[in-house]
Amino acid sequence: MRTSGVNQKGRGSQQFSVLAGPAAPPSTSVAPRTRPAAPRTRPAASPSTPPQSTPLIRLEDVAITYEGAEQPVLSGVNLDIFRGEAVLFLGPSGCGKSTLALLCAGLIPRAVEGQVTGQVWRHAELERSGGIGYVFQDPDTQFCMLQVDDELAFGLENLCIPNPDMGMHMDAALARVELSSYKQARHEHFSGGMKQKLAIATALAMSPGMLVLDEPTANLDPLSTQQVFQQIVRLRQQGQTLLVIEHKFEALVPWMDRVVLFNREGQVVFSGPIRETLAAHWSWLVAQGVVSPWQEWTDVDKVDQKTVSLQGPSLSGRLPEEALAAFSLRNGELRYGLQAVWTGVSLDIPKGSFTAIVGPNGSGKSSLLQVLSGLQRLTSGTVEAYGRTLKDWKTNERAQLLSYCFQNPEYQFIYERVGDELANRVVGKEIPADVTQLLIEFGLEKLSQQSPFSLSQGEKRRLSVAAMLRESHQAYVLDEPTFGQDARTQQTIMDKMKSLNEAGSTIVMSTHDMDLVRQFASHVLVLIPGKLRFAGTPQELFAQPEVMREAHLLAEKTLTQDFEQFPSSHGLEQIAQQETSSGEWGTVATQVRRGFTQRLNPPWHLLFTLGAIGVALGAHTLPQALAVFLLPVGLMFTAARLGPIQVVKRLSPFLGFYILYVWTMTAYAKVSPGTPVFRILWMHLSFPGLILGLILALRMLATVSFGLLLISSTDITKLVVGLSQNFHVPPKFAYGTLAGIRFAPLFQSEWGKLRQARQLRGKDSRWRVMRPITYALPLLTQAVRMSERVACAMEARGFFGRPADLSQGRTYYRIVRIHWWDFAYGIGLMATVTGLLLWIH
Amino acid sequence: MKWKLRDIVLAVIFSVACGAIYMGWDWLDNLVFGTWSPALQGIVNGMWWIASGLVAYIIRRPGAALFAGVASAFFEFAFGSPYGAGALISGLVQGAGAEAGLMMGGWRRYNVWMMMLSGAVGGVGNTLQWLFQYQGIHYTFSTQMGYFVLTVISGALLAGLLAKAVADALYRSGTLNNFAIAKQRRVQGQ
Repeated sequence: MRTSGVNQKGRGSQQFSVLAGPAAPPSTSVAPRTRPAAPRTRPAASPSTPPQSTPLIRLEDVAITYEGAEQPVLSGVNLDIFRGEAVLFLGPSGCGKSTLALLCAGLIPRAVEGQVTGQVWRHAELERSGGIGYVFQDPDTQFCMLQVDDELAFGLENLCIPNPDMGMHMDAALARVELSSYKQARHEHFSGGMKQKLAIATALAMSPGMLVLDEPTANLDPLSTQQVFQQIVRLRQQGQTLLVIEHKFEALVPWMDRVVLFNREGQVVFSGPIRETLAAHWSWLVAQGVVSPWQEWTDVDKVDQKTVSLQGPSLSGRLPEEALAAFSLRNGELRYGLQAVWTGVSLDIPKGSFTAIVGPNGSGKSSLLQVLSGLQRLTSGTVEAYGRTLKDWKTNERAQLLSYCFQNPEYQFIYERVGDELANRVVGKEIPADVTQLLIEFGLEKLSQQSPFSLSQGEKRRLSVAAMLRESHQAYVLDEPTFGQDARTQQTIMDKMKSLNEAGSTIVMSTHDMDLVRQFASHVLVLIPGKLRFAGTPQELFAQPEVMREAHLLAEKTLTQDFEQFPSSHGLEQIAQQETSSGEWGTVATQVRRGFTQRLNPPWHLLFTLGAIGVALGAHTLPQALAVFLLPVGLMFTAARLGPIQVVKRLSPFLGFYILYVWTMTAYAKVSPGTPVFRILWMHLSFPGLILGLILALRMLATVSFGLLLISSTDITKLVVGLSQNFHVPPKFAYGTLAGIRFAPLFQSEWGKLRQARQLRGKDSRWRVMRPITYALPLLTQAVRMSERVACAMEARGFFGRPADLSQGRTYYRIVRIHWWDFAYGIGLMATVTGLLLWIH
Repeated sequence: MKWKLRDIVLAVIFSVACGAIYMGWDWLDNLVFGTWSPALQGIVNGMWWIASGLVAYIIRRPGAALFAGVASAFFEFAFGSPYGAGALISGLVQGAGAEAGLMMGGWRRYNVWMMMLSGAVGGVGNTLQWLFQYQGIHYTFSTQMGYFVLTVISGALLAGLLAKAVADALYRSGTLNNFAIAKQRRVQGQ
């Protein structure tokens, strides 16, 4: 469709009237189209009484240099943003768009360090906390709480909104993004689109003067993307000042006022009314790699034709004649725990085909790729690769047969230098010729001595693809290889894969980009949650809009104001149910049961538990130890209302551990002279030692039971928030901790993926215990990046200064109260332990 | 020297990772070493306060070693360590030890020797807990001395040297540019 109708209408056409067309509120429809002849005086001097033409933000000759970098990312930037305006930032990846947005939002240099030169002026209404909302690219690293309501409340607390008023603000914000029925939900189960909408809601709750959306749809499937876009349109209509960064910008064009174009060197090259500017500089955008060469500038009026031309010509006649399957799956079923990812999947991927796997977020595309590559075992069913059951392939044979490219390139990195990484061994400065060739081909030649982790996202992706293509394989399996890339990188990668495919290799990739499917794929598989919905050629798929719609693949290029016809929350609920995290670590302190202990004040409960454990250390005889063990077990049944099976289940894994302790005491305890001992090797087994060991084991069981009692009756959010409210721990520490806890389940999945990536490269340590050491670097790099993002997102929601430093500097949504029974229970507990010890003396 | 929010979040996320490692270490330590000799157990102990060294070396704030020690122990506990809530006490005493080591350098010096000292003093905390909570006092004096010496050495090597090596590798990858470790080096480099 993009090849249809070369339309250069925009070029040289007259000024358009107000682009917002439908229903921009009258008060804000006067968004200036060009930079006004603004007063040249330094506005910073008098920000108090803004006249109508005063911008919300004014930048003059701004340059930004990151810490440790020699070159500025951005320089010579002049920009005004006016009230009610919707501005689009466009440029190749790594050009500094996000950096400028962060500066506009005041997050540089406060949350992200950087040297800023030049003049930055912000209107007073933006300078207040929460005055500029910011929605980040990655849905997972911008939240810091576990539940939707807490998440919204976090910003309100920072603004010191009184507790009784919070509900109103939260409801209003949720209603604006159509998530009203999810107020009590845990957002880890949300789909990517819902998470982004929630992120928008958290910003809206703080009534921002301006909202920044920094590639909000980069991680989303077409439908979720459209949901977010619809949201943007709605905000535009409500007169919200918007700053949007978006690669897939086409559908947004009618709703944006102005576009700012960046070049690779981090300069603002053009800025002006969006249609005229895009039309005039389209070939420049192609040259910069912002849009693909096959994309043509089409004015929005032509959009209807575009949608219709979905069935347009695609690559045909390239269907492989060989009917043999490279991969075939029969009655495949995959489950994570009780959760079925998909069932009853039977498919054949022909040899020499270019097969694309598409479908909504969370439909199990990655899992399917992993099953085909032998990284993931089917729950039931069979999978064959090249006529042989996959189980029969040895690991190294499989590694020669196929290569696999992970969504996150970092999983694959093993070495400290790009050159080594590509050569798959340490080569240092003497890089072999074939590696040099690849480096040049992928534009990495200047980076060969750098750390793979220090590259930009685009460079990392190119490196991982290059490393994967270095050796020839019969099949290449790629998980969203073009994810988050600008047009130029995308082009490099796709061209390479196309040539491999033409040389006879089978390519299987997952993607959200239907343009790529149209352009490159010979076959396409459509997964929807739970099953395989379609298998065939792209032409056949495009001829079946109902399948496309069901699989969230239809993202119309036109965004409507008619929200009614838009698929609403029903579909989303399904996704939410589908996307449950499988991590067992996810259960950290979250299973709250009904019982008296649940009503205790969590921080005090923690303190008294530690106190009780301390007193229990006084158990020096077997009966004493038994008593202090039975006490918390009894409490688990009565006060925490845990069932006996639960208790046994939770305690039993440690039995072997305590037996070891008993053994060590028995074999090595100091014995008084004359005690009979049994000597073997250098050990001396004794009866008193055995008793000491049993006492120790029982004491440890008591400790574990006290801990279990605490964990099973404590809500982690309440514990952490309570630390601030009741003990005046600076909120920075309390909420920072809570934000970090969210990542526990994430680590588990990262670990699994790392292991797979290593196995594929034949580089996994043979010793399990060595894995923490070899995995440390990629895992910790990821951890550092997550912490920076989360911290930045928290500060973007007003978490700095008083609300972050002082427990009295903020209001609280959850009031964690202290009652008399907290002390009654705590002191009673410690007294009981003491009493038991004295009584059983 | 005020803590930045990203310092805190980094400390917590690293503590989550370390807490998971501790879980595995709980078993390794007892199965492989404890069975053969309680003293020999000491030689791997240092891993249990590596979070203190790692985090303190990166963010370089007073209190970082203690905070990371307690936080990582909390996660170890929450993930279901066989030491249960006893892990919290370990985190407290080992973290306090590591912190005391760094305090001796005025929280300014973070060279090899300071890191090893910090790791070693963490071992003192560990030994104290072992003596009183885990029946250490019921072993012979030579076993106790063996445990103490090996634990201190292990702390210096694992929680000091290894932590430093990991953090330095991380620094070389360029991901720590926004943290005190990189800033101090830039200042020193000039």
